[in-house]
Amino acid sequence: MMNKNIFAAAALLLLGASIQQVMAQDITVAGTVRDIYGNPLPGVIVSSNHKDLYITDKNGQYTAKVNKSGELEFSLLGFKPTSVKASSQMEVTLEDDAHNLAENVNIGLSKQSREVLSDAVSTAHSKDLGRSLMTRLQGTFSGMFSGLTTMESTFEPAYESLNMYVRGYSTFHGGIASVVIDGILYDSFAHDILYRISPEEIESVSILKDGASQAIYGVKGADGLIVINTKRGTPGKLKVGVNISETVQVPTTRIHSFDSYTFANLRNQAAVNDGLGEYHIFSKEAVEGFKDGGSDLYPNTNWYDMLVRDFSNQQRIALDATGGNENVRFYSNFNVLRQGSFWNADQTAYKADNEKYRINFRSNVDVKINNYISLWANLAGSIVRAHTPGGAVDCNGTLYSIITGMPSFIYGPVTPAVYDNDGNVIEAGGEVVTTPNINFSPYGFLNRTGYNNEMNTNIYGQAGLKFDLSFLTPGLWAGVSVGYLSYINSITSNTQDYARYIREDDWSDLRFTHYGTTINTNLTYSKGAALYGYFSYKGEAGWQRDFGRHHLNANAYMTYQVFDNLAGGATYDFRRVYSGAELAYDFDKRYAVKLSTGYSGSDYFPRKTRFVWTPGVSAAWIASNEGFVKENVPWLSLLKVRGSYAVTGNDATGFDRYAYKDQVNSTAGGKIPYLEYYTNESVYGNPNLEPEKIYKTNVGIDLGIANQFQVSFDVFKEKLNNGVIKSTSKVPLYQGIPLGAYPITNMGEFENKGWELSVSYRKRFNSDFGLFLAGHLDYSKNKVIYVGETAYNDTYAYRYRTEGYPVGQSWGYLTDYSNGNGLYNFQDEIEAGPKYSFGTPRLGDIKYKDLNGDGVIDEKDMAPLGNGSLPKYNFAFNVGFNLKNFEVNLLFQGLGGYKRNYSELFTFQSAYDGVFTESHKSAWTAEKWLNDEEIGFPALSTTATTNLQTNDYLLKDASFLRLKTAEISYKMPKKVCDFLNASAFKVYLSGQNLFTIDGMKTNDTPVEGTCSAFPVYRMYRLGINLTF
Amino acid sequence: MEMVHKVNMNIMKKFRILILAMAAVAALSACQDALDLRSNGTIDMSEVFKDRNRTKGYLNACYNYIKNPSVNVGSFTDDAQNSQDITAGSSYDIWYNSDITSSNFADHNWDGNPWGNYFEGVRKCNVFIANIDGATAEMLDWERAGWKAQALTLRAWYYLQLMKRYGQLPLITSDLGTNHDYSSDKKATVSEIAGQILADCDAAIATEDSEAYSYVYRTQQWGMATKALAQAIRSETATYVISPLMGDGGYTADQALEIAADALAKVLSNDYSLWTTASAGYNAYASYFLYNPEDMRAQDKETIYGGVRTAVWSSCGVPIVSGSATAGTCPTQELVDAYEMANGKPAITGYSDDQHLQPIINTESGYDETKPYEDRDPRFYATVFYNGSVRGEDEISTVAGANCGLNATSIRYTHTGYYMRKYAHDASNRNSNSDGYMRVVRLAELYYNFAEVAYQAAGPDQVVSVSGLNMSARGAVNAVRARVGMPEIPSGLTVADFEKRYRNDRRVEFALEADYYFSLRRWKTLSATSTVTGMKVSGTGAGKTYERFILGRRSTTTDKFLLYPIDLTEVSKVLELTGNDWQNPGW
Repeated sequence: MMNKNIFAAAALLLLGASIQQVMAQDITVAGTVRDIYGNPLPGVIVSSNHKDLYITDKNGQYTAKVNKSGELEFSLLGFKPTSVKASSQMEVTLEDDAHNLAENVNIGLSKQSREVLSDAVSTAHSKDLGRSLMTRLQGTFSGMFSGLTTMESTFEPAYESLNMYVRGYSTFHGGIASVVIDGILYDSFAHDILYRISPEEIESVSILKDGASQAIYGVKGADGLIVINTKRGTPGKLKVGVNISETVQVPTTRIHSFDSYTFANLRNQAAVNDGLGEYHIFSKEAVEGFKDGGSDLYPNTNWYDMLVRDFSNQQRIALDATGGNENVRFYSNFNVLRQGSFWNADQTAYKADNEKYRINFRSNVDVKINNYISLWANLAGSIVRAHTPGGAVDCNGTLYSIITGMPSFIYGPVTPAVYDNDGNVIEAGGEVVTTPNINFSPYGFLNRTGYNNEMNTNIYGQAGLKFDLSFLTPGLWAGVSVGYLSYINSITSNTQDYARYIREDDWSDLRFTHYGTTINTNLTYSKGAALYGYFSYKGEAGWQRDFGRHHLNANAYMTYQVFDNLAGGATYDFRRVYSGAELAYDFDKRYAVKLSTGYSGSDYFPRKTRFVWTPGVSAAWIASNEGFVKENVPWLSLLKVRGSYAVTGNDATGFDRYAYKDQVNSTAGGKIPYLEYYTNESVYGNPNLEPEKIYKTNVGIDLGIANQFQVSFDVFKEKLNNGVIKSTSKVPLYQGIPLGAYPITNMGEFENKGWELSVSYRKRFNSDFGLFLAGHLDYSKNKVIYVGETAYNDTYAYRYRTEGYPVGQSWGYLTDYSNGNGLYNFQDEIEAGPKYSFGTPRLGDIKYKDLNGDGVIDEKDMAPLGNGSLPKYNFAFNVGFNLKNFEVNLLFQGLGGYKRNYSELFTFQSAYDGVFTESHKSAWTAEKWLNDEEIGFPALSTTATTNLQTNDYLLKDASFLRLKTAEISYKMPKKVCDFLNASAFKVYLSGQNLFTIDGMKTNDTPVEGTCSAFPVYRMYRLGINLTF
Repeated sequence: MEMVHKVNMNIMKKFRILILAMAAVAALSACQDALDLRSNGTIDMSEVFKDRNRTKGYLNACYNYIKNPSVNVGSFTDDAQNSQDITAGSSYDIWYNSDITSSNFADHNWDGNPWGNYFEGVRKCNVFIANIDGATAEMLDWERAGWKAQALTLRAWYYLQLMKRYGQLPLITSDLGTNHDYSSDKKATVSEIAGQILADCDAAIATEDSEAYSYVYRTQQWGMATKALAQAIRSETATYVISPLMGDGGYTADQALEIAADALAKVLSNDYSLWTTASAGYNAYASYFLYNPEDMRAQDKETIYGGVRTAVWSSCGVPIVSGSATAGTCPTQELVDAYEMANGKPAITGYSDDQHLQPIINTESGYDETKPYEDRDPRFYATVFYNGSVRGEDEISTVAGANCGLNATSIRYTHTGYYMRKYAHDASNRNSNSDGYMRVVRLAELYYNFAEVAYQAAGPDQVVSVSGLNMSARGAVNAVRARVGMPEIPSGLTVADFEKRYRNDRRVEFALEADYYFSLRRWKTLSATSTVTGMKVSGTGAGKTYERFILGRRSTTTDKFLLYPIDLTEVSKVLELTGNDWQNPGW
C-alpha cells in the first residue's frame, strides 16, 4: 500500500515540475494592520481563499500578491477576522474579539473555524501553556482545558507525571486519551512522547471531547484525543527568541521526623495498647534520656534535615529561530534544562546525588517546490540524561520513602570511631547504622549504593508532500506523509552495597555490632536498554472552497500504523489502519453541519469484524449571525446552539490482544514421553469479537454578550453497549473449558454523563489596560451497568461490587460513629458489639458497622467507599490583566467530588521500628478519652490489628483548589530594547503551587500523593525573554 | 503554454482515477493482510488434527487431569490423625473440628473440589475422540485406533473419578463449545454414567493390541493408558453400580460380577501378578511400596497405573530424622486395631463404648493388651511405627519426652502414639530420599473388587468361572493375604461375617491409601468413623503401660460427606441456567 502511495507522489512531483506557472493578473498589496487603539499588530495571518499568504511583522506590516479581484482575510487570535477586497495599499484595523471566533481550531486532520465549529473542542495556545513551570508538556495542561481532568501522580520536579482523562472514562477499561501530533495519531503507548516535548515547541493544543470530533479517528477515538500542533516557520526576517530562567524549588510538605522523645513515647504507648506493659520497647531511662534533644547515648537524629536540601534549583535556556521567504520557511528550537539535586550527599568517590539534563530540539521546515507541490518536514528529538542515586531508575522517590521509615532514635548516620585510653584509634568507625527491623539506611542508600545513569533518546520525524490540486478544482489538495518515532532508553548502573551495623541493646553504652550485610562492596557495573519504533504512513486529501455564502470543507485520510517493540516482546507490537472522511458545510456562517465517519481496524480483532464504521454528525445554528438578531439585539455578540451525535470506537480492552483467536501451542514434551509432543490450548478465541462502540451525544450553547462576556455550557452522554468483558457468571465449569481461559465477549454496558460550564470576561479598556477572567467547571460521572458480575446472595449488605458503581469503586467497612468517636472506648462496648471475623478488636480500635445485622463483621458488611477512581468535578479559574508594561496572570486549579483513603497510616505505625506521622499523635488512649481530648486515630499498635481491614476511617474528601501558576511580567520599554538591538525584552517572575486549599488537617495526608512519596514542590522562577 | 497545461490536466484527471482506484484496492486487500495475526507460534484448533505431532500432543494433553494421590489422604479417614490439627485454620483443624460448607470444601478436602479438573479432562477427550477418526494427520491405522482407545480409557477414568465423588452428574460426550444452551442439561443416573464408562472401556479393549495400546507398557510409555487400566476401571465401576451408596438397580449383582470377574481374568492372563519379593529388612508388602515402578515392568507386575514418589521422612516423618518437617499423618489406634494377629484371627472385634476406650478383645486370637504389637499381620509392621519399632539403628519411643514422644502441642511429634511407616525407607533423610511410591491403581484392587461383587452375587465361597477365571470371593481375598503369609479367611462364613472380614482386610491392605477414603463412602460406613483414639505409652521395659485416649469426634463423617458437594458458585449457576438444584444431599 505504501509503495503505491510513493509511486503516485513521485508521479505528481515529476508532473508538477514540468508545469509552468500560469497566473492571472496579480497585484501586490502592502500595508499595516493595527488594533483599535492604533497599535501595530504583529503575527496577523493574511490569507486569500483559505491560503495563507503572509504573517505581519513586528511593525504590523505585510505584503502579499493577490488576484486583482480577490479578497484578503486578516486573522489573529483575539481579534475579529476581517475580509477586505484587494487594493494596492490597505491599512487594516482589527477589532477585539472576546469570543475568539477567528480561531482556526486544529482538530487534528483539519482546521475548522471556531465561528462555525459544531463539535465540542477545548483549545489552549502556546502563550498560556508556556506560563506553567512544569517541564513536561503534559504538566502544563492542568487547568487549561474544560473537559480534561488532570491528576498528578509524580511530583518530582522535571520528572512530574500526569494522568489525563477526557470527560472521564468512556469505557470501563478506564482508557487513556490518544495523541495527535501534527496530524499523525499515536495511541497511549506514545504518551511518553509528551514527557519529552518541551512546552516551548508548541503552537496550540486542542482537546477533542465529543463524538463528532472523535469519530474520524475510529478505534482510537473513544477515549478522546489531545491534538498537538508544533510551531511552524513564519516568513520574513530571521527572528530569534531567547528564554533564560532560574527556578528555585521548595517542598510544600515534609516528612514528620518526630524527635526521639515523642517517638519513644508513641512507640511505648502502642506496646501498652497491645498489652505488653509500660516501657516495653523503650526503657524508662531511655525515654528520659531522649528528653530535651537527646545526646550521643540517647540520639535524636533528624534524617530529613541531614539528607534533604531545603531547596533545589533548575535552569532552563530556550532558543528559537524562525524565518524564511514565501518558498522556504523554518522554525527551529533548541532547549536545555538542568535539574539540580534534592539531596545532601557526602560521598566523594562519585556523584551520589541526582542531576538531570534534558535537551530538546526541533526543526520544522516548509518548502514550496513549485505551485503544485510543497514539502514539509519536522525533525524533533530529546535527549535526557538523568543521574540518580541508588541502583535503579529514578530512585529519588525511593530515597524519600526510605527517609520516612527511619526513626530519630537511631544513632547515625555512621558508627563513631573508637579510641583507647591514650586516644589512639582502635576502630575507625564510619559504618552505616541501621536496626534489625529496618535493615537499610537513607544515608547508606544515598551515599553507598552507587548511582544510576539513564540516557533517553527520542527522535521523531515527520515528513510529507502536499499537492495543490486547485488546477482541477479550486481548493482541492492531497498529501502523503510518513511519521517515525523512536525511543531508546539506556540505563547504566554502578551499584554497590554497604555493611550494616546495629547498636547493641544497652542504652548506657555506644557499642555497635555487624548486622546482615557485612561488607562494603565495590561498584558493580550493569547495563540495560529498551527501544521501540512507531511508524505511520498517511495519505490524505482535502477540498476547501467557498461558493458565495456556501462554505465547504471536506477531508479524507488513510493511515497505516505499526508499533514495533524493537527489543522484542510481541505483546506490545500492534498494527492499525485508520481511515475516515469529513464534510463540513455552513451557509452564511449561520447554519453549520458536519458529517464525518471513520473506518478503521486493528489487529486485535478477526477479519470479519475488525473494521468498524464510526459515523458522526454535528450541527450548529449561529443565531448571532442572523440579520434579525444583529439588528434587534446588538448586544448579543454570540449565540450559538450546537449538537452532535456520533459513534466512536475503542480497540483497547486490556484482554489478550489476540483474544479473538484460539491460541494453541504445540511443543515437544508432555506427560507421556512416548507421545513426544504437547498441544496446549491456552486461549479459547471468540471469532466474533468486535471493537467497542461508544455512542456519544453532546448538546451545547455558547452565549456572548457585548463582545466581552461569554458563557458556554455543554451536556454530554456516552453509552457503551458492546463492551468487551470476560463474563463467566453464566458458564458452568462442567462444560470443560477453564473459566480463566473462557472467551471474552462483547456484552458489557457502561455509561458516562456530565456537563461543562465555562465563563469568561475579556475586555481591553484602552491600549494600556486589559482584563481577563475565565473559569470552567466540569462534572462527569460514570457507571458500570453490566459486566456479567455474579451477584452475592442476600446475606450481603451489597450484592454487587462492580455493576451499578463507577469504575474503581473501592469497598470496605464503615465506621460506626453512633458512640461519637467510632472507636471502642471501654470493654463492655467490645463485648456488646459484633464479632469480627478477622481478629478481636482492642480498646481504641475502630467499631465497624454490622450492615447485614448478623452479629458478625465479615465481607458481607462491606460498603462502597468513596465514588470511584476519578473526581467528579474538575475546575480552574484564570485571572489576568495588563497595565502598561506589566502583565499579571494567575491560574487556580482544582478537583472535587472525590475521596481518597489514607489507610497507609494504619500499616505505617507498625512498619519497621514504627513510622509515626502527625495523625498518630492524636491516637486513642484511655486517658485521652476520659479527659475528653481530641482523638483522631485508633489506638496505636506494634502489630497488625483489625484496623488494617479496608475501612472508611481515613477516607477523606480530597477536593482541593490550588494556585497552580502565578506570573508577573514586565515588558522593557522600547529604549531598552533598542539598546540591546532586540525587538522585545520581557522579564518575568512566576510561581507554581504557591498555595493549596484543601480539607487536610495535617501535612502527612497530602491531598495528592502520599506522605511517603516525593512531595509537591513549590517553585519560584525568574526569567528573561528576549526576541531579536 | 496553454496546450501543455491542458494536456497535463488530462493526464492529471487520469491519474486521479488511478490514485482513487489504487487507494480502494489498497484499502480492501492490503489492509486485511496487514492486520492479520503475525505468527506468534500459536495455531488454532482447526490445525491440530492435520498434523501428526500436534495430534499426538493433543492426546498427551488429555493426560493432564489425572491426579496423583496425596500421602496425607489417610488423615482424612479414621486411619490417621494429622499432627497439623493443632495449626489453627489448617485443613486438618477445619476437617476435624468445624463444619465444612460447599464453598470451603475445596480448601480443606484432601483432593480439593475436582469437579472442574475432571470435566476439563472429559472435554479434552471428547474433542480428541470426535476428531481422531477424521483426522488428516499422517498416522498409521493402528496408531489411530490405539490413540483413540487411550482417549476413551481416559474419558472413562475421568467419569469414574467424578462418579465416585459426586454420584449423579451431567453426562457430556461431546465438546459443548462456547455457545451451548445449558437450560436443558440434566444429571444422568449412576447407571447411565457407568454405562458410558463401561462402553468406553469395552470399545478401548476391543482395539487390536498394538504399540499404541495394549495391556502392557513399551519403552517411554510409563503413565500411558492401557487395556489393564481400562479393565481396572471396569472392575471398580462394577463395585459402585451395586454399592449401598450408589446402586440404583440399573445393574444386577450378577452383571456386576460378570464385569469384575472378566476384568480380573483378563488382567491376570496378560502378565499382571501380585508382587511377592521381599528384600533385606522389608517384607514383600513393604518392598513393593519402596520399588519404583517403571514402563518395562521388570519386577513390578502389580502396578496398573501411576506412581508418585513420597518423602514420608519429611512430610510424615519421625522426629529423630533431622530435617523432618512434620509428623503429618499419624496412624490411629483404630487402624492399629484393624490388624489381625499373624495367626489370621481378628484381635479386636469392636468397642464396647462409643469413645473407643474399651476394645472388645478376641481372646481366641492371643492378643495381649500388655504386648499389643506382637504377632500381628506383617502388613502392620510395614505400615506403622509404634513404640518399640526400630528404624535403622534407632528404637522409636513414643513415651512423652522420649525421642519420638507423644506431644500434642508440636507438629513434629505424633498426636496418636504412632507414625506412618508405609512407603518409608529407613535410610531416608534430608540428604537422600529413598522413600517409596504411591500407586494410582494396583492389581490388588481388582482382587478386592471382584471379592466385593462376588460375595454379594454368589456368596463368599462360591467359585465363579468367567473368562477362564475360577475363583471365589474368599479366594480373591486370600490371594492377596498370601503375599504376606497371612492365613486364609476360613470358609463357611455367613455373608455378613464375610463382609466384615472382607472390609477389614481391604482396609488393612490399603491402609493410608485413597482406596479406604472411597470405600467408607461406597459402603456407607463413614458415619461409624467419627471417633479416633490414640495410645499413650508410659514407663519402660516390663513397667510399660498402654493407655488409650480419645483424640476427638470428627464432624465430617455425617452422611452428607458420602458425596462431595458441588461448589456453591457452580450450583448457583446451574440453578439459574436449568432451574434445577444439582447439589448433593445435605450440602
